[in-house]
Amino acid sequence: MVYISTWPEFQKAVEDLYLNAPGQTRYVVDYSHKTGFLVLKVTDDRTCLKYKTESAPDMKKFERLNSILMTKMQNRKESVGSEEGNPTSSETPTAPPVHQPKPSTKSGSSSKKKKGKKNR
Amino acid sequence: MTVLDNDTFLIRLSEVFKAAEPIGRKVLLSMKRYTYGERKLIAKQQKETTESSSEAKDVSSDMEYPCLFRAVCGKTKLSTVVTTKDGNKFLNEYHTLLRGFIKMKPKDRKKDKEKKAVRVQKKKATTG
Repeated sequence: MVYISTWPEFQKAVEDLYLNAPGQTRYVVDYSHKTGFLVLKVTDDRTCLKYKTESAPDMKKFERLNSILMTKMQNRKESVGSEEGNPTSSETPTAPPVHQPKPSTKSGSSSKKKKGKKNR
Repeated sequence: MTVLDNDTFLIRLSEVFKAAEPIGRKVLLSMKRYTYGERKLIAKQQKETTESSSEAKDVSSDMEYPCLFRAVCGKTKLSTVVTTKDGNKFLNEYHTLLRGFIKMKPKDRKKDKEKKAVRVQKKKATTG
């Protein structure tokens, strides 16, 4: 059993493992309130990949991985990021949704003040 | 193991989490492709395609599968099968439920600041 330290490495390894054996791969999530650790395990009965975390930001990554794996397991031809569930859409499965940077809303020093023209 | 419908599974899962929390028991959730009866179906479809045409098609790549979800806590075992039609809806409800019961540590901003300071110092050392 191998614990992988970084999330991107774990996600890539999981996707590769799944592609090799889609019928045999299972994804197990183990949570204990006592320890507070969330342990993710993906195995095809030959190789085992594990990731352990106790930080809240990893919860979003975990949810994203769930939806990616579910789409692959079901062999659905929809896009991964759709949350509304459109069964009639015929889009091919795409890469995981990229986090779009929010537009900067910083005010103060960065805002440029335009000088008004003086009418003489 | 009882195979439940999706809504009942989620209700029972929330009860399992509530019961496990004070005791500190582990809850195991698993997700897998549901392939029961697949071999027979593939053999049947391949037989049909070989009879109708000479080209052998890869049937399994076009097939959509349901997903098997299981939850185990002590002696309580639950399971449900999620079809492709209900996949997104079930997953949203499942995630909402997990967010309520899985409590993890918030982001440690102090450690992040320290890490950032170390990175900046390293950069200065390499450039300067």
